[in-house]
Amino acid sequence: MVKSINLFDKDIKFSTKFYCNEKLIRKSNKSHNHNFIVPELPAHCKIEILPWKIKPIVRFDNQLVNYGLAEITPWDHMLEFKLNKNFLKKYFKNIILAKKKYLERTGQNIPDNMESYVGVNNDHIEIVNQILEKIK
Amino acid sequence: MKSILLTSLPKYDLVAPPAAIGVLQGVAHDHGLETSILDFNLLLNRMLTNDEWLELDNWCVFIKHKISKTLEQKILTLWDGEIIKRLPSGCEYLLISVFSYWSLYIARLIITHENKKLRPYKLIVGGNGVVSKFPDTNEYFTDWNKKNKFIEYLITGDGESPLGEIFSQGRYTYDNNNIDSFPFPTYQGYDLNDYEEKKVYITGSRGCVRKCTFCDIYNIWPKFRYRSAKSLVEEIKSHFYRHGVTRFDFTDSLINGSVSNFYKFNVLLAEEKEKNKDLKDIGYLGQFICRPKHQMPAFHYEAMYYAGCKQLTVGIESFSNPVREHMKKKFSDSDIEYHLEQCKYWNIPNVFLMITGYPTETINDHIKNCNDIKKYKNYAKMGIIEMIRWGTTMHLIPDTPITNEKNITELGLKGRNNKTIGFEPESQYYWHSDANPTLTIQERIRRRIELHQLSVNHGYPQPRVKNELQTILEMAKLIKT
Repeated sequence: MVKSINLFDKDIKFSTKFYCNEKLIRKSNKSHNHNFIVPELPAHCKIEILPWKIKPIVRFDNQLVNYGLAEITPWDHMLEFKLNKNFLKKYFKNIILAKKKYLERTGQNIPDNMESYVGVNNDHIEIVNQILEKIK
Repeated sequence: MKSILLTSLPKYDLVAPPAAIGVLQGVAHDHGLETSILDFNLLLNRMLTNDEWLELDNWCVFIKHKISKTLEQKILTLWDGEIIKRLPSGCEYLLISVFSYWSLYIARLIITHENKKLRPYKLIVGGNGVVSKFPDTNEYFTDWNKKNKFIEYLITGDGESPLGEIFSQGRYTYDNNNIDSFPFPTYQGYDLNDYEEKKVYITGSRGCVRKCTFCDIYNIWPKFRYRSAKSLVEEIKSHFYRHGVTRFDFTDSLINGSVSNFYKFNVLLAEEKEKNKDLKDIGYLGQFICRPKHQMPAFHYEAMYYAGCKQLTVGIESFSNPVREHMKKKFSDSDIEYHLEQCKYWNIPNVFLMITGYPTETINDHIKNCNDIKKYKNYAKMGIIEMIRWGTTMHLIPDTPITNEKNITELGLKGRNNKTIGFEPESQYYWHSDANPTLTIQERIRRRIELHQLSVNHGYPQPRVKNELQTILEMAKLIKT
């Protein structure tokens, strides 16, 4: 469950306005570092940033997140994203999806490779049962 | 012009061109030799059927000590065909890289075969594997060669200096104590698209600052040596401009062996990326040792992030402190937590390498492993523990501290039928400990399976687990034979 958001840019100081579900929650003055508390979930978050075209590091609950995987849309003037209590589940699903797409691009998206390199869909119940049978 | 054919053998991954050949090709070029290369590992992977590849794999990792005559003949026919095809004119040397002790059996097959031929070239053989023993005969590779006189130049240890001496007929050598004096590796002749990832291996150090009980690195490189941060960044830039490679995989046993040099490297690379935007996509991955906070403060992780650290492979080995203590890993539970927090803060993914059924592992240690899988599950969801690998249960490697006389006596380690460890090939997996009698092979396998099931249930990605389980199944089948 995401409770806090942090924006950081080591080079440029910027100011922000944080909106959650269309309500202005907090304004912050020019700084390299900005912290916000998420007041409720689900949350449709918009963070307006001045000056424009800054793409700060974003952290949810102290985790630096990838924009694509966290489904953050970086507009020129703001960041927009949605949070809910299943955020981690979505983030993990997007990691696996991204790896799958990478394998597709390289022509290697075959079930064996999802098993070998991504490491999912691999409970291998049949082999496990055979092993357990042998060590009875 | 003198020339050389450089070859590499299974078992090696198929992710990128083998580092050793890149390094040795660099030395050959430095001495003006014409080179040709053969990645026999890659070739066999393409030419063998899945069943044949699995048979080869089980042989390489000593689950089986023989392969069928048909497969043996197929391997040798493919070898001969490729050697003829790739041999440069007037080839003076054929170099065979025996990457690790998992290349021992196939190296013996091929070298024996080479000596049945009338060959125009001399054999140069080197690599980590040549310091090991053949598990089936308990004979050192070096002794085997001394007896048979198969190899004209057998190189044990670092390849650069001896190879330089061979090529220059003793007139020139590199300074082994200063690995910055070695030439940069070159990957000429490789099509990087043949490999799973467009990346190259890079070596920042040799040896290790630890002496973990299960590891044989100390036998290969007793002294830890590292390259300067500046030289590493220069090499990265040279591969980027020559091959367009942006991904660099360190071959080091640990990239943070020298904490200060590793920090310098990160700062320097980050500065170069800042100055030259062409380099912005450069990233690296490597093996890393978990260290306490006072050794690796938070700003070190920050520097890693800005340098482009994309993945760390960390030998956690066990979540149980007493087990790690016996292994001489020298980090605590709170060090693991600190490391994970920092990696989370800078989004640095980890591959955790684990060992199931270490000789001192009690049922409580196993329960700790199970509990910590649950405890750290959110790190898996966030991709911070990107993967976990539990391996095929603890095997005892000869000439590692765990199989020294002291440990064998103290732990009462014995092979099957109470035989001495090391005198029977199977003892690598089928050992038992009088000091920990409930940790039978069956119990090790049972724990391994429980950890597999728990990891699946809690969403930890586990790569190549099918292969590992198949190997465990083979082990289980042999228990009663």
